Amino acid sequence: MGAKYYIKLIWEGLINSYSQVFFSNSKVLAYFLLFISFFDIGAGLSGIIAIAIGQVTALLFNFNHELIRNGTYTYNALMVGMAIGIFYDFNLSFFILLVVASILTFFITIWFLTNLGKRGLPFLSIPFLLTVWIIILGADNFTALELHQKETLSLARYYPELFSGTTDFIAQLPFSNGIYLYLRSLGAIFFQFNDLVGIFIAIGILIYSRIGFVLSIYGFLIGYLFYYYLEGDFSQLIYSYIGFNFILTAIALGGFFIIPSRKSFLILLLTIPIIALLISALHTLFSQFGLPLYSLPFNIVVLLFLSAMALRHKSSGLQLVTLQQFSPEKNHYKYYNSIDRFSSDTYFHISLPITGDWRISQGYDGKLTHKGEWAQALDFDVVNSKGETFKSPGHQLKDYYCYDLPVNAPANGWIAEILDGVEDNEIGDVDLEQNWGNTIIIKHGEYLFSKLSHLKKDTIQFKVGDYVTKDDIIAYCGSSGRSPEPHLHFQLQSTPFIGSATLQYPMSYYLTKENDGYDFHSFDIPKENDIVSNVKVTKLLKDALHLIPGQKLKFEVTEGNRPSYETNWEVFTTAANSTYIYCHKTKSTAYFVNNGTLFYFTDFYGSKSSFLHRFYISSHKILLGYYKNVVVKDKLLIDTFFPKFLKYLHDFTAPFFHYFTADYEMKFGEVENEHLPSKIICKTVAKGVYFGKSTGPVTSSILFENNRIEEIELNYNNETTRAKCID
Amino acid sequence: MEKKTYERPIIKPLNSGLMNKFGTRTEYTPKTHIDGVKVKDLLAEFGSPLFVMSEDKIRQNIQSAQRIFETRYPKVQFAWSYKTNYLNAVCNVFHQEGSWGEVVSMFEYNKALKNGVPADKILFNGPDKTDDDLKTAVKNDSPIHIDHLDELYRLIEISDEMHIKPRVAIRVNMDTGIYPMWDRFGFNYENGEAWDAINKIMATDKLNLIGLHCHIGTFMLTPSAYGVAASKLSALALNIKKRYDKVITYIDMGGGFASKNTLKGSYQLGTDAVPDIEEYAEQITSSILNAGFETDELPYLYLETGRALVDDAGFLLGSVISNKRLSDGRRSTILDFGVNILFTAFWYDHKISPAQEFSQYTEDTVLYGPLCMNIDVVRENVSMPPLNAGDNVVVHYVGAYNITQSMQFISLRPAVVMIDTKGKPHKIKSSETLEDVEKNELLPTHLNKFEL
Repeated sequence: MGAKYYIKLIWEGLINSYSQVFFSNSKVLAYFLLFISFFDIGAGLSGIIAIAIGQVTALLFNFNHELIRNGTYTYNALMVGMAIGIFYDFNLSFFILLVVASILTFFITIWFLTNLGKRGLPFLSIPFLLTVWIIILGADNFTALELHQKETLSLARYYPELFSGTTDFIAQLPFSNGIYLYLRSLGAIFFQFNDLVGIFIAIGILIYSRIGFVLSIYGFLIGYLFYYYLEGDFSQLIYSYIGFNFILTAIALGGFFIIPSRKSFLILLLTIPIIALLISALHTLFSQFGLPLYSLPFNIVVLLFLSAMALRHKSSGLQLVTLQQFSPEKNHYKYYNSIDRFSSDTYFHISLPITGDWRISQGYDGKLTHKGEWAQALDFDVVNSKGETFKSPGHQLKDYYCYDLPVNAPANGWIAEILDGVEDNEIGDVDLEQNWGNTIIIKHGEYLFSKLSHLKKDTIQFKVGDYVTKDDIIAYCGSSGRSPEPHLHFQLQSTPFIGSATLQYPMSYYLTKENDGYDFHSFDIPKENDIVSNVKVTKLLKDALHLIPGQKLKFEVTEGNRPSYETNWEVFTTAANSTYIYCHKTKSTAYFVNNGTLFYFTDFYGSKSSFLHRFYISSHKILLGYYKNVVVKDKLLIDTFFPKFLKYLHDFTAPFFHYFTADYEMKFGEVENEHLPSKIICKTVAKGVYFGKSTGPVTSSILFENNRIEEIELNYNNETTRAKCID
Repeated sequence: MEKKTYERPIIKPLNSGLMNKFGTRTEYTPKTHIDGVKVKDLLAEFGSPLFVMSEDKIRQNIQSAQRIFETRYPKVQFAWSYKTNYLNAVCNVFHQEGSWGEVVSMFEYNKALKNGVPADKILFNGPDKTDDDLKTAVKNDSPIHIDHLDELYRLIEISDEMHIKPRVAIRVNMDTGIYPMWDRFGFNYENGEAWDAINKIMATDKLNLIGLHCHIGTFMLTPSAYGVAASKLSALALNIKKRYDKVITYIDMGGGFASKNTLKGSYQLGTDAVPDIEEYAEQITSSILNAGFETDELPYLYLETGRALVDDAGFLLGSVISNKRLSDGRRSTILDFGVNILFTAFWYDHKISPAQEFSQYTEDTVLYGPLCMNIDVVRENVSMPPLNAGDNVVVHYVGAYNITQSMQFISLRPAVVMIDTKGKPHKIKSSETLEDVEKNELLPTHLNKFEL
């Protein structure tokens, strides 16, 4: 690693330290804040120096380069630098203090990073607070340090009319006192109590996040009104504009550490008043020692609240951000998109225990026997085209279509319990003594068992303790137990006993027979009278999308009439076992899942104009079994389709309601030979929808041939892009 | 009140006690309606004799066969065996239900094409395929089931010549523990001929081996034989996968499932002796499922079931011409149809019901056809109620092999009617005329005239 590497590392770390102050990783915001910090040149300079010292310390002691790069180690040092840069004159003794303070900040940072990190909590600005208080308490002793003359290095000194002009302008606005307070509170985050800096920071926040901007005003208002109605002493708020605690808390709890939603906004109604109370209380306490509060109330409340949230018994309602996207918008959209798309991914995959088309003769909460503790069960039988379950005369078991048909294991597991030897009933009879009849219970995991009942006597193929694989024939359908005519009873349960209560649990993937073919269902519960079957996978699709780590995909891409170029992709696996396609040229990453029934993309990072991004959209979700007329639907992230401007507008209200959606649909074209198709064309449409209108459809057809993705043709903005697989 | 029919008196010894091999009583009830249509009306409208096909029954049969197999095995395809009954109306009912076509001659192949079956969904079987036949099939991408080595070699040459790689399967014969063993068709499994043929195909890159075919016999009463056959074909397919890393797309189990007819010499009635399709299905599917295929390499199961799907959908209606007492005292009845149109009378004891009400009295009877030939016997010995000239009878289970094998001999062949699912009869084939028969005849001019 040469000098170039270190320069880049330090530069990126420096820039990122600025945006980290606002929970962001946005470069634009970082430059903005860097600029603002120089409104007081002393503060600006000492901020940079503090970061640099922190970085050098981290490098000398061999700390994690990634955390240096993203500014985690040094944003507290930046704040310390700026805070003391405002107070003291810039001279050698100050410089010595700055070095010591920065190193101290770094080590405090490490301690809190580790110890709070263990509990999944952020360390926020605690290192900054501790360091600054130590300096304030200790500095009196060192007489070489001189409190510098106010505004010696401030822009306000050189361009006073700029600042007073801003203030005068605001004075004409309604609620000018409130606006002053808001803007100066924003400025106070950078230790500069003036309106111009406040405006710049407000714009910075707006660029960084619309939700964040709304939250900053909302949080501030709650705090303000709390003071107002309880007739609080406003001088506390005006003194060092401590109201920025409202703003920071609102952004942190409203959208950064918690997924922004109506609920996250509601919860601020409870937490911001706590801040107000804390300000008041701590003000009284800290003024005894002449210590400023800074962001202490914010730190206390956020940490308290987050640790409480993490200890909840059930994590419904408010959702903590699990994978930080460093933007309330991204946190919000990705979360709701994944709720739509992947909320079912946590389920163990259970398929139907049958071969071919069966009917759900009794569903959940059925009229006959699926009641009370046993309500969430499915009964299966087989019917002919007229809906009859038997051929005439129907006096014997063998007249019934489902009788003696194979019953399959719905998923892998161990046989936990077996009951065999119960005679199959004559038609119409029921056995109320052994009401479940011959039964198999399979253990799929802790607290997840499946139970198959009324099996034909002496047909159970396994013994207790055996491991069965999905689709193994485990027994044959019979009519033992409380079964007046042959049928199969199937339920999931959390305990391994015959007679255990049922558990509501979706079937992973299945088809229902409709007039013109089949409908595809994922993680759904079949309804009474549905004719259901499992998905049959087509080898060509399965092989073509079976992308293995190390595999290289090369396409010759022609966009419109422009000359074609080559794109090189490679498949990788992360440490967390996620697979992704990486485009070397555009450094873009598309995460995907292939679970044997579906191929789908989960996430994308990188260039939105890359061909990989087009592929990510057009192949968002592909069913691996060829079915005529089956439509597979999905949702995309809304920023895929809407112009930035529209999306920004949408962001303001996104936590409350969405009026944009981005929909995806996939179906198959005709194939020549369904049994051994040499080629399959998959047609997909992705489009944005708002107020009943649609925008920017991306239509594509993906040709699978030679066990690979042979050709992709997609249409976007009246331009056709063609990509051909080359070796 | 309807006028009571006159029945001539008969004298018959009283058989009492337990059921014996002749039965305790007549097996018959009158068959007055087919799918709700009066037999008498059909005969009045379309003439006698008359073949009647029930569309409803055909659909029920194929749907139930599909259901029986598809609820046991995930990948099933039926192909309609043209030779069983290639009336276009019948074929198209099967095609509407999703069946492909299975043919054994170019004549049948063209018929299937003409019916609109896509060529790649016509399985081309049979030992007699000419070079031209093969070329047509190769050009159309129809799966060709190779019967013998000469055909294999010719196909390699044709492929070379046409620069097309035909999709082929080989027909395999084997010992499934039943007699007779059909070793005249295809390549033998036990003596290694089949594996040898497979090696020959795999050694050349001219042919694309996609399937394995067998057809172990006809009117098979032993379902377990199918289990053996399916195991052996699966073993071959797995060997091909192991040796050549080639996945076989389908295993074609041919036909041969018995219908409910009673074979001559059979002790039990067909309805009692013949296995249900479920029993064949269980044997075949469990054999393939247990063979050890990878889930995604499980072959398609093709079935060329003919007889079992159509036999009971066909009826032959006829009329009594006369009654006679034979020299040994037996009663004989002469009907207006004989072995010329009821060809299967040679190997079945057909179930024949009167088409009108009758009393409980029956008499052992010989049923003769109208041909002036001694072989024309419809039933050698059947217990029938007394019939009068002009009465009608219905022959059951005649849907398979009769219409395709009936001969124009002595008299003309009758019309065929299909009753649709709503009970409406449609004529699907007109009765033959003198012109039809003479259409292809040519008379040399010197034979034009004669004087007597």
